[in-house]
Amino acid sequence: MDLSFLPDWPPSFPPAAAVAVLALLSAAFGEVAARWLRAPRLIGYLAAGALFGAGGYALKALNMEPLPESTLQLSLDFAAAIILFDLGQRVSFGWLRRNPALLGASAFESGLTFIAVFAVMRWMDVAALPAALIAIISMSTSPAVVLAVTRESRAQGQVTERVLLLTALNSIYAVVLSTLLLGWARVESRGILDDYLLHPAYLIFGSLALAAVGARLFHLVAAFVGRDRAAQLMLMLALVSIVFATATALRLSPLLALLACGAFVRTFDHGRRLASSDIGLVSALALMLFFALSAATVDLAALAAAGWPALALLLVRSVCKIAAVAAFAPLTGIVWKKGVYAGLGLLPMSAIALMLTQQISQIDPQIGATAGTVLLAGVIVFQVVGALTLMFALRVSGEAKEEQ
Amino acid sequence: MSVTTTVTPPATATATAGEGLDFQTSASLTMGVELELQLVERRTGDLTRAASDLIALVTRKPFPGDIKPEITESMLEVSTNVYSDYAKLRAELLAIRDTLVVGADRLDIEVVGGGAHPFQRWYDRQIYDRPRFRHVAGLYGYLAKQFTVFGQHVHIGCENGTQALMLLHRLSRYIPQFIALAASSPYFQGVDTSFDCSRLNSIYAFPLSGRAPFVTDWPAFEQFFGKLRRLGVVESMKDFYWDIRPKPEYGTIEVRVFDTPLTVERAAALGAYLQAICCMLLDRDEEVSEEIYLAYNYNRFQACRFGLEGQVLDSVTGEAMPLHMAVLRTLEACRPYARELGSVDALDEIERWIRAEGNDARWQRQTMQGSHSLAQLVLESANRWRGHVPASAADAWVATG
Repeated sequence: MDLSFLPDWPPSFPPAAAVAVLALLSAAFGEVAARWLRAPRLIGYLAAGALFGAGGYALKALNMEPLPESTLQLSLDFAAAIILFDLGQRVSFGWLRRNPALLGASAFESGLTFIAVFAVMRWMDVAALPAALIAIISMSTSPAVVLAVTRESRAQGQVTERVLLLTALNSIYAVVLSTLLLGWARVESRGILDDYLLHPAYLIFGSLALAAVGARLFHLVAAFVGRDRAAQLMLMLALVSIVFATATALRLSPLLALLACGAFVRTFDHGRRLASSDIGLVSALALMLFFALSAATVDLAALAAAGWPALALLLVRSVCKIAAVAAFAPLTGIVWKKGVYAGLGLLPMSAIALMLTQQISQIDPQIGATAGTVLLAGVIVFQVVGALTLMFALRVSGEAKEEQ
Repeated sequence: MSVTTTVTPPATATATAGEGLDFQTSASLTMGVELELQLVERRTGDLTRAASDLIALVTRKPFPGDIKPEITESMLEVSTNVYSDYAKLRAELLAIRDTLVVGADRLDIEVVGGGAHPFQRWYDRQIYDRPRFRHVAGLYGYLAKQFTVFGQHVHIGCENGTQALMLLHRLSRYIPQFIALAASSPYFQGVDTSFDCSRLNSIYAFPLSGRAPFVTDWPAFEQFFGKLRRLGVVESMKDFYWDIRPKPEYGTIEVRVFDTPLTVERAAALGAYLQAICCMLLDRDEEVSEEIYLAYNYNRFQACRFGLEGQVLDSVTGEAMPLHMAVLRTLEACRPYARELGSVDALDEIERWIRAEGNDARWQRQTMQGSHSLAQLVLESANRWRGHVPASAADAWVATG
C-alpha cells in the first residue's frame, strides 16, 4: 500500500504556524498578566515572545521552523512604524508654545540623564564613544511601552499627557544626538570635518520634509475619501508604509519622520475630520506583535554579560529622570508629586532603543558592540520594570480607569 | 458659592440642630452666579480628567470668586461673589474666565460652556472622589454619570423665607423664557437631540426634580421638608433638583434651569435679566394661585424642544404666544426696573439675541452645518468661551439696531 501522500511524522510546519502560535500565546499571556497580576499586558506579550526566543525551545518542541530573520525584522520595523506614527498623533507639540516651561523640563530631564550616565560610564572605564552612545540612548523613553500602557489603562490627565509629550521629545533628542555622535566618530577616525553637521542636518530636515509631504498628501486624499472609517484607516496604514519605506530608502530617520508625520496629520486636520480612534485597534495589534517579536529576538543571557555598568545605568537613569521631572513640575503647572509620577512614567525602554543602537552599529560596529551589551541589559530590565512603574504612576495619580 | 462666607455659620448651626430650616436674611435682589463648566482635551474635544489639576493651578493665586470640583473630574464649578450691580458681576465673570483660560492653556486643555458635551459617553466618566459624590453615584447608578450636564445657577437674595417662596412661584411663569434663552445643549451623546435644551431631560429622570410644591409661607415649607426628612426621602435641601429652589442657608432662591451659556457675557446678562424680573415681581406684589402651574410642564417642554420658537400658554389669561415674543414683552415690562438697577445693557444684549443672534443652540447648529464634526464644534465653542467672538456678529447688530 502506498501511503506516501501522508505527511512525515511528526509533520513539519511552515513559519506561518509559528506566527499563529506566537499570536495566540501572546494574547493568552497578556490576559493572564492583566487579570491575575493586574500588570500591563505587554509583560505577557514579552513572556510569550521569550518562549520563542534565542533558545527556541518552544519551536523545537512543536517541530516548527522559526521565522526567517528578515521577516522578523520587517514585521518588527513595521510595527514600530505604526507605534511611532500613533504616538505622533497622540502628542500635542503645540502645548510647548503655550507652556514653554515644559520644554525646559524636557531638556533638563534628558540633559541630566545624559550627563550623569556618561559620567558614570566613563568612571567605570567605558570608552568615550560607547559611553556617549549609552548616555544618548538612555535619554529616550520607549514610545511603545508608554503608548501600550496608557492605552490599555485608558489613562487621561496631566501625568499621562506629560509622559507622552516628554517621551516623544526625548526620543527625538536621541535620534538627533546619536547622528551627531556618528559624525563625531567619523571626525575622530578619519579627520573629515565637512560631514559633521551635514549628516544630522540632512537627517533632521529631510525627515521633517518627508513627514510634511506625507501628511499633506494624506489630507488631500482623505478629503476625497470622506468620513468612511475603513477607508481612512487603510489610508493611514498606506501613509505609514510609504513614509517608512521612503525614509529607509533615502536613509533618513524613520523614527523622526513617522513621529513628525503623525503630529502633522493631527495638527493640520483643521476640520477635525479624522475619527480619533482610527488607528487605535491597529496600534494595539502592532504593539502586541512588537513586544512578542522583540522578546523573541533577545537573548536573556545578555543580562548576565552586561555586569556592573548595566546596573549603574539602571540606577542613574531612574534617579535622574524622576528627580528632574519632579523638580520642574511646579514651574510647568502641576504639583511636584505628580512630577514624580510623570518621572516614573519615563522609565520604560524598549527595542526601539536597540533599533537606534543597531543603526549606529551598522555604520560603526565597534561603538555598537560595546554599547550594545549594556543597553540590551538596560532594555530588558526597563521594559518590564518601566512598564510597571508607569502603570503604578497612572494608578496612584488616579488617571487610569479602573476596569469594571 | 462664596455667599457662604457672609451667612453660613449660624445657618449650619441651626440646620444641623433641629428640623427647622432657618432662612437667612439677604439683601433683596443681590445676585450670585454659579457656572458648571466642561473640561475638554484640545486634541479630540472629548471630556478629560483635569478638574483637580486645574483647580490646584489657578488657586495658587487668589481666585476671583470661587472654584470647586463637581461630580466628575471633567467638570468644574465656578461662582461669583454676591453683587447687586450687573457691571461688577460681569467684570468678575470675565476675570474668572481669563484666569481659567490662562490655567487651561498651561495644562493643554480647554474650558467650554454649553449645557451638555456633544459626544461624550457617560460610561467613560469617573466620579470625583468625595463622600457626597460617591453617595450620589451609589444611589443613582448610571443616572449619576449621565448627569454630566452643565448648568448655570443664579441666586437671588431674599429678605425672608416667605418672600422667597412667593418670588419662587411668581417666577415660574418665566421659567420657559430662561430655558429658551440659555439653551445650549442641542447635541448630546453624539446626536442632534432635536431639543434646544436636552440637559433638562437628563435632570427630569431624578425623582425630586421639576417644580417645587405650591407652598407659600416659610413655616409651611419647613413642615413639608420636615415630613420628607422623617420619611427618609431627603436629607437636605441639596436632594431637591427643582427648577427653582429656596436656599435657606444663603437666604436666596436659586434658579437652575439655565444651560451654561457658551460665553460669560451671556451668563452675566441672564443673571441681570432674572434680577430685573424679580425686581418687577416684588414691586407688583401680585396674588399667586396654583393655577399658574397648569401649563407649566407643557411650556417647559416647548421651551426645551423648540427654544425661542416654542409656543407658551398663560394658564391664567389663556393667552398663547411664541417665546421670543414673550421675552420681548417681558423686556419691555422690566426695562424701568433695569434702569434703576443699572442693567439696561444686559437687557439690550438679550434683545439682540432675540432680534439677531438667537440662542446658543442656534449657533451650535449653524456651526455644525459648516463643519459636520462634533469635535470641531467643541473646539469652536472653546474659542467662543475665550472671547474670540467674530467681530462681524457685533457689527451687524450695531448697523441694524
